Amino acid sequence: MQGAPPILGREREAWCATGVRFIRVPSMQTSARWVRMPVNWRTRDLPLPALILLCLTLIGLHLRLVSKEAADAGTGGWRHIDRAALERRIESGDLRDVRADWYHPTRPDEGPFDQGSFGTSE
Amino acid sequence: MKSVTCELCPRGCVIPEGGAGDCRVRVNLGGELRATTYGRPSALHVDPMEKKPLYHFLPGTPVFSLATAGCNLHCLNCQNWQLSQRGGEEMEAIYRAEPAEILNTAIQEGCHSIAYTYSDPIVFYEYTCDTSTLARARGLRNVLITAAYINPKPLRQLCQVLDAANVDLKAMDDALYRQVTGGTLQPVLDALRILREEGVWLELTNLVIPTLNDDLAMIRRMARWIEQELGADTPLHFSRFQPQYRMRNLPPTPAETLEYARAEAMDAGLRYVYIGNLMGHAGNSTYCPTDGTPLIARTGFWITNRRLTADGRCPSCDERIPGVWQ
Ligand SMILES: [Zn+2]
Repeated sequence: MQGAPPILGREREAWCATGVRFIRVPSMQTSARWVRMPVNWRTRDLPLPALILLCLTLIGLHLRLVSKEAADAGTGGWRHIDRAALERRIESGDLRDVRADWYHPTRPDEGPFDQGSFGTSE
Repeated sequence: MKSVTCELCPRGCVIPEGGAGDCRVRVNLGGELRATTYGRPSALHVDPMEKKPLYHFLPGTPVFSLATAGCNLHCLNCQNWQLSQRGGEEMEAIYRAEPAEILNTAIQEGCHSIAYTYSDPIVFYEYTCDTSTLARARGLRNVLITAAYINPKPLRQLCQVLDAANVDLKAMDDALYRQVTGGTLQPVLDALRILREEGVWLELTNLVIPTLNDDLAMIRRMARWIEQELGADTPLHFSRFQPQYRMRNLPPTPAETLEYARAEAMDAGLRYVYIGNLMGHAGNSTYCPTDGTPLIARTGFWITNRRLTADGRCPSCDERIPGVWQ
């Protein structure tokens, strides 16, 4: 079979108007939307893949943060509050800072958002 | 970062400096947990005892009722969500009412008891304890209207100054507790046993929500548990659901669903089962379990006829009806 012409024709590099690049695209699959890879593609198209990568990274980080906050809130961990507003209202006398009963400084073995340490076994 | 661990409720929140517990009102300031709504209620009313609802505890008397912001549960159908799902710093109306001032106002208003209610008094525990202690000293009674999502030790301490409680038992199903309230079932069942052991007069409310907890088999399981663990004389109120807050997708409970629930619970052995939040229904009234004599007839929160004797007996057969009648 050596020297036989490829069934699908010659393969070549091509890129799409959307920026997706195929290194080896069978020529019969190229259409009007596919164009030949320009010589200087690296410098012209680097911003788009980089932008996509950046977007994916940001989305990933955001999802991580959101799921962590949801987990914190959902399991009864703790809540962020507007501390400045709270302190203003304590200062004005609208709210108080009376020392609460039933708590202790967190022990090293108590992970954050640990549920059930003080459950029904006491 | 000096974080603290709250021991008050089963959530056991580990709270970093500057953060609040899940209840929003217990805040870590400088490594110490602070009760930010102590003496700062956002709701003060004089209610009939029937509104709590407590049907076997000083019926027909006015009760001075108070609540602060915050709650340790987050029920999708909360009827007081503007109060319960906010921190103190988010509230517009805040009254300044130290325990002694509550007592003076309650007495002025002709109340012989104080109710800690509306949101959940567990999250303003210290305020409830101090006001209750003072109320006891001045001859007033204390009633707790709660979902009972509290740890055993703080509850036992609070019981020393409590006279009555109505506990909202949401369902006999842990998954439903998690889904609808964000809490869990077992701590509530433990708290109910403790309230009974400590001699606090106890009534239960179960809000019947169509398609969520109206399954008769579950209602029967709940009634059986109450009968076995708390006693057949524990009044149970089936309350009608109204769509609100984050649960507007479900319809109000049909009257017949409440009637089926009542029949199921009575068949399981409970002797005092009521239908609430359904104006003018015969299930609002108290009947003698022996001969069916109507003892206290109610329309809404109002008593329209009372035949129960002053010492809490049926005038026809002399059956003693459990409760605190005077
Ligand atoms: Zn009778």
